[in-house]
Amino acid sequence: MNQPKSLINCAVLVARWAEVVSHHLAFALAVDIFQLRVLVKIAVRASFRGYEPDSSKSERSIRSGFRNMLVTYFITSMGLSAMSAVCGNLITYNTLIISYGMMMTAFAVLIEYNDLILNADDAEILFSKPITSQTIYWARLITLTIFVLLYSASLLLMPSMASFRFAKSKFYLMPFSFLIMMIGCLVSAFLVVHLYVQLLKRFDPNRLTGLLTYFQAGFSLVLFYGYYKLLLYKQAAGSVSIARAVENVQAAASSGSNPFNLILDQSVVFYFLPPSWFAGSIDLLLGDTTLRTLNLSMTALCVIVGVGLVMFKVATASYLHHLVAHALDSQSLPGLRDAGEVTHSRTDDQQWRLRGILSRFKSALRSTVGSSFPPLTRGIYPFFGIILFYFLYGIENKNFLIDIFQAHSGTDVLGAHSVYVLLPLCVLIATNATKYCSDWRAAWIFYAAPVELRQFHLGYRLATLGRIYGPIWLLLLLLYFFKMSLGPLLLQMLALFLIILFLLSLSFLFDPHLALSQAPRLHAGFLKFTLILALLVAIAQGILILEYISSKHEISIGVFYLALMIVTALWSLFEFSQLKRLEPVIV
Amino acid sequence: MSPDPAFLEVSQLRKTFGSQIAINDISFSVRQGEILGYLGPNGAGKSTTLKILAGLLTPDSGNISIGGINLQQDPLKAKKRMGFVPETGALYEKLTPLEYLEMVGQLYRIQASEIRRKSHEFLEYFDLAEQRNTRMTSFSKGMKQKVVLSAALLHNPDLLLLDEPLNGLDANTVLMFKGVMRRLADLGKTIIYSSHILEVVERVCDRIAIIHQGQIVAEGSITQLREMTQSPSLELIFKELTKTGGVEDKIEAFAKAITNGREANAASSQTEEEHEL
Repeated sequence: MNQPKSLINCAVLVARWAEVVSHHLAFALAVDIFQLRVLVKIAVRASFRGYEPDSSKSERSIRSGFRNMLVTYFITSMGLSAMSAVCGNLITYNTLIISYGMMMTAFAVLIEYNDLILNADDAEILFSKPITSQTIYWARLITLTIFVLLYSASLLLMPSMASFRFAKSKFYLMPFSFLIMMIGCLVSAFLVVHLYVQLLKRFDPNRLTGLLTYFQAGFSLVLFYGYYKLLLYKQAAGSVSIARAVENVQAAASSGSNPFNLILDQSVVFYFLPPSWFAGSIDLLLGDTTLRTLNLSMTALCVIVGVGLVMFKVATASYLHHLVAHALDSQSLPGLRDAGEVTHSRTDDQQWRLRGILSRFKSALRSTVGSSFPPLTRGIYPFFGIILFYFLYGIENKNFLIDIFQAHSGTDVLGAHSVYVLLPLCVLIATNATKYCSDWRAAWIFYAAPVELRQFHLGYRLATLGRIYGPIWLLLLLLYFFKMSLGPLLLQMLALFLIILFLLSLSFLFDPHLALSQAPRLHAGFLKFTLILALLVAIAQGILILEYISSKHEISIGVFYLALMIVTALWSLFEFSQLKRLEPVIV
Repeated sequence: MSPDPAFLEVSQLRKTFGSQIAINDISFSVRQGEILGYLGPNGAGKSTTLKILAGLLTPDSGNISIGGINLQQDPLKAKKRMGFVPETGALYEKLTPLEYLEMVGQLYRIQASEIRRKSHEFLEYFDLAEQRNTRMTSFSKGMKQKVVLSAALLHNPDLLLLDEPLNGLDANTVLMFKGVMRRLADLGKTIIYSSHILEVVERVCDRIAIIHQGQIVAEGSITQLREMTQSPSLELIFKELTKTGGVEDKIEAFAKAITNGREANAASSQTEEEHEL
């Protein structure tokens, strides 16, 4: 009877002690704990909310938005877990998984959660209140930590469980292994925050945003290509290169052996790879006490302590100063200036014809794709690196780019699939980046202008085709030109063009709004992306089935094209008929 | 009998943005219970001054004292005594008015029961009681402005910094709020009221300061300004002090630009015809 009572007393004592310590710490940091709690609560609540005016509806959307994000990442993480089957050892698998987690987190902080770090609204709302800069900073950092933990948990839980394929008897250590992975993601997020704040001291916010977008494109290319070239390509003797994945799968399928046995290169490069430090810590946790593991773990520990100290150092009054500078600067953001000219610069009725609208919409899009509209460039540029990697990979590996109509097995289609994953990715990025915009209220202009909405929509469609998909399509054409003969090449390019049109219509029907007319929201389109991805895989599998069913290759091609053309035409007609139902934005 | 001591004292305030001088050597004081109208054309430095007074911006030089507290040396103590209505009417739109006011109240450490009572009363006063649990994303500019005003008044501040507070408000609310400002001043609150609406400034304010190109060009009661400029109305005083000349010419040129000169030419040719007749 006394034992539970003493336990409770002990718990109360510990809680009081923790409270006293936290208050002392808060005092030392000039943080008001009460205000900190208020700000974190409000930031989390506001960040998860959409812009829907109806309270009851938006309560539902909060939950579903959050659930969608978790579900999407969870589905992605199941695919990642499958990598455990192709990795030769634990440290290779964990390094790849943590790399993915850290990279995704870094991008998420830069692209989706940057408002949590520096929010222009804070300046006018909070700075006139009796609240310290440090309280605001720590509140923002805690909110960011909450988001990163949720984000990385949904991304890494399954892969973390799958990692115990290599140490089944020690599965009870899974929570700790999972924790190390999440710490890796947090370190990545905090480093991005630190880098961002440091750069803000040297560059004005608009210029910095432009620089960051280029940095993201370069960074993603270096990251993907770096892994491919430096680490996976030069493997230990006897293991199989991922660069010849398709060949290897084919060879293994025919011989019945395990096609992959990926082991990361053991050269010095490995020690300079941050994810390997955390992966090494997991190895140490599971009982590997080699010098390499100890070195990696010590590096991880030093990095965690270093990043912690850096985050404390950032918590100075300069944070406030740069926040205000950012706020003041963002007030002069050009935004939709060119779109606004659609009404102001008109001289006569002729200019309201389709050509005029197109040129104006193109000019609006050109200005938004350029450095003058940071949210869009931030959304698109990181993926340029991935796209470039795809092309470089395709050039180096002849079996990677394959004509889908010549595919006769599942492994053949694997190579062709990549382009069908790349395309929906581009469609999703571009439609999301051009639909969601901080100046969404300016979209009233589309409804007020004496032009039918379908003309605007058509202008937007042609502009995106010309400026975003066109270059990608041409690059693919160039790439395939060296891989295929003229007939299959033309058919392949026509199929890809129709698929782009089909996906654009599909994307609009999932999210029926005009371009630049929606307020930015977190995790917009993840469910949409998953659905489109599933649909694309289904299309590719459908072609295969057609190949098997049909006795003649030509018949299956004919059926495929006919179906694709009919579906695209019907879908596009349906899309434009839906434009009448669009409701104006609330200004 | 000595005059009331100044509650707000601003001396030799200067702020630059790069090479641009936003305000240059500004000094003024406002007594307790006084409403100071702060006027000036666009870009004159009104909002910058108010942002500095509210603690949003740090001045390059100069001093600000609020109720004897130096704003630069003890900002938290000074900020507890002021309420600020920014020109942009910024607020966290994804929250409901009640949630927003609760947050603001908590930041000022007001008791929960008082926040609740005051929030309901304020929202009732501004006809927002029915929308108190609706997210502000769907609110009109005027509705948001009412919430911003409520938030600025929630902690019963001694100094009110109002930057275009009547933006978007309907006529009834404007009428009521003018009365409230006057009543608050009578109760001893100090108010700085920055606006473009000269009529309201003329009616509500005890004193007026006119800022032009970052410098205060005139300060005093409306009577003093009239005597100084020999102008009968505030509109003319403003025009005189901010050197806004050639308004008629500008109107004509703008009308021509709008109509591509057609209507204007047609009108002038019509006048010529009338003259001939």
